[in-house]
Amino acid sequence: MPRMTLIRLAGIIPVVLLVSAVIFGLLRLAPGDAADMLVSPEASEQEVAMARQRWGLDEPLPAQYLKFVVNMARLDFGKSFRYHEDVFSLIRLRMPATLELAAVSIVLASLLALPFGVLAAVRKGGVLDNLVSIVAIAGVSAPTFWMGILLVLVFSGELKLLPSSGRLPLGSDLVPVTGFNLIDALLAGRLDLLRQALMFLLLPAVTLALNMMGIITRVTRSAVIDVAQEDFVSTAVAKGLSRSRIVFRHLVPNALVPVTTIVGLELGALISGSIIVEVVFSWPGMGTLLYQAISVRDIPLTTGIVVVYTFIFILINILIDLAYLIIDPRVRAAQAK
Amino acid sequence: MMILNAKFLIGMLCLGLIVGMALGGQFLSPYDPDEQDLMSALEPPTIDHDGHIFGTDHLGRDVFARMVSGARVSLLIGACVVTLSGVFGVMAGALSGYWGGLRDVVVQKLVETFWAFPPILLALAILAFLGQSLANVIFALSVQRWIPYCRIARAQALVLRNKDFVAAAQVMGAGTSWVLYKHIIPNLISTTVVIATFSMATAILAEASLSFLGLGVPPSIATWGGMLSEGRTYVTTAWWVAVFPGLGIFVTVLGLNLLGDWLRDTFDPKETLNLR
Repeated sequence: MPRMTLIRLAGIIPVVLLVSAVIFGLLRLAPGDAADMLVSPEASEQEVAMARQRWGLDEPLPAQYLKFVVNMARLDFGKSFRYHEDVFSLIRLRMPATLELAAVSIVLASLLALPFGVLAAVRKGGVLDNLVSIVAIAGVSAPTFWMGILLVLVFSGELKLLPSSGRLPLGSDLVPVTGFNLIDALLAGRLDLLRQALMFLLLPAVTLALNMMGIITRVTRSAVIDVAQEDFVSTAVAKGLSRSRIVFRHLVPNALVPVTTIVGLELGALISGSIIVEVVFSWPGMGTLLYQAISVRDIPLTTGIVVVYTFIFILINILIDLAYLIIDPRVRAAQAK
Repeated sequence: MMILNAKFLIGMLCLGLIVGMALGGQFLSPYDPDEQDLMSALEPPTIDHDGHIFGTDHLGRDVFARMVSGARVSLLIGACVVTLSGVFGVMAGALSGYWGGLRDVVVQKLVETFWAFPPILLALAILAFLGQSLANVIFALSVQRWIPYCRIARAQALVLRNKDFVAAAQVMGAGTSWVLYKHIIPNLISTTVVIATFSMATAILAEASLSFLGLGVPPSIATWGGMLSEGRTYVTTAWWVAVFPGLGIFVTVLGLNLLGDWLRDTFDPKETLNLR
């Protein structure tokens, strides 16, 4: 298994190179002089010359691309125009907020969607099944930002139960250690801060989760129905096993493979969705940073965030692939050959 | 098999409503979508004759008239994206599978590369670097959407190119384009239509998201996403400015998803399509 992991990891090198070539190509296709784009509009002649040298803009294209890749590999994206700071340190500061929101949303979505999917499949054609189908298709069709705005309208505007923007109240005395508010509050042993952090997290996380729930529920349902038609299920029924034992011991474990695939695919949607949800709820993560960078045409910062998001996505896909090895003994056996 | 089922009926109803609004909306509202009237800003919806049936926004513009404009933009972009990505994807996939060899490897590397980007992010990057215009939005949304067609077409071409009837056609002197046109593409139509329906739904959602972020169609044209983005500030005092445009997107996408489901059930109940 370590060998398989290494082979899989080596396989991403060409993908990473091709992906960075696409981003490099887009930067070069952009209208205007590349050097002018990479420095702020009020930069001096000297700064433009420095950028030219830094990114090798006087050299032929292949050499420029090489320099671009080397700079990416060193996580050196240059300086943001807007914040006058190193791009990667800006991203690193915002990353925990994004990861916290994404992790809570996917856990929330899976916790709700998996039981509903299994229940709908077990009672196929029943009232609950139909209800789940309707809610699922509506969840997929509603735009995330609209759901977010409606939730704000009801829970912050009308009921005044939950805050509508930010991660913590102004002047909060939470000391950042990991940058993950929930973990930091626990580390500090402050349950009041944990409660506050959860209150701020709830609306954005629910908005993001609602969007994913539909698909996860549908796939879980159809996966369980597919497995239920297998011979070993008939055998289990014939042996006189209890209903719960059949469901939890035979149906659910076998349905996990397609469900993992779809949860993995949904992580792409989760990344795109989180950019929008962060903007709606002024959540100070990478998504809002990207939004601000794009709106002031801060090219180094935009490039840096696009690269980081894409690499996170590629990495997640690899982890999902490796997860099959753990979940499905058949994959393990096939790979060992 | 029941042809007229609930999915089909509700789906058609939703789409009919939106298409009808895009085509005939101007007969229902006498207002210009861009005409400002600050004296009547944020007026609530009314059913009075010559009133604003969906209310007005913060600049006093008629929300219904802007919804009609938004419906046109959404449907136009959705249709362009689906046509462009569908034709390109089917051609690339069919050729890649039919030719095989090095050309197939190149196309598959392209697929792998574009699939490695998180969905909306690549579109965002394209618009951020290349600038905002209708053409760039259509291009940005098509850049990943050709891939599902390409995969299906390639798989089909790989199977069909070894069939006797294809060999017979080749023996009789048929060229690549003839074989593709007569033997491979006809076998792809039903699957392609299913993909196209779902793809149009995601394209319309993505266009609305881009416009919401201020990166879609230039803001001088009223779009559903743009209206929501502007209305967001006033949502607690004037719900209609954000609720109606969102409803427009929801009804359109719901209609397309229901029709896609129905088409999939009708054409091939076992087909599991992997779509974003």
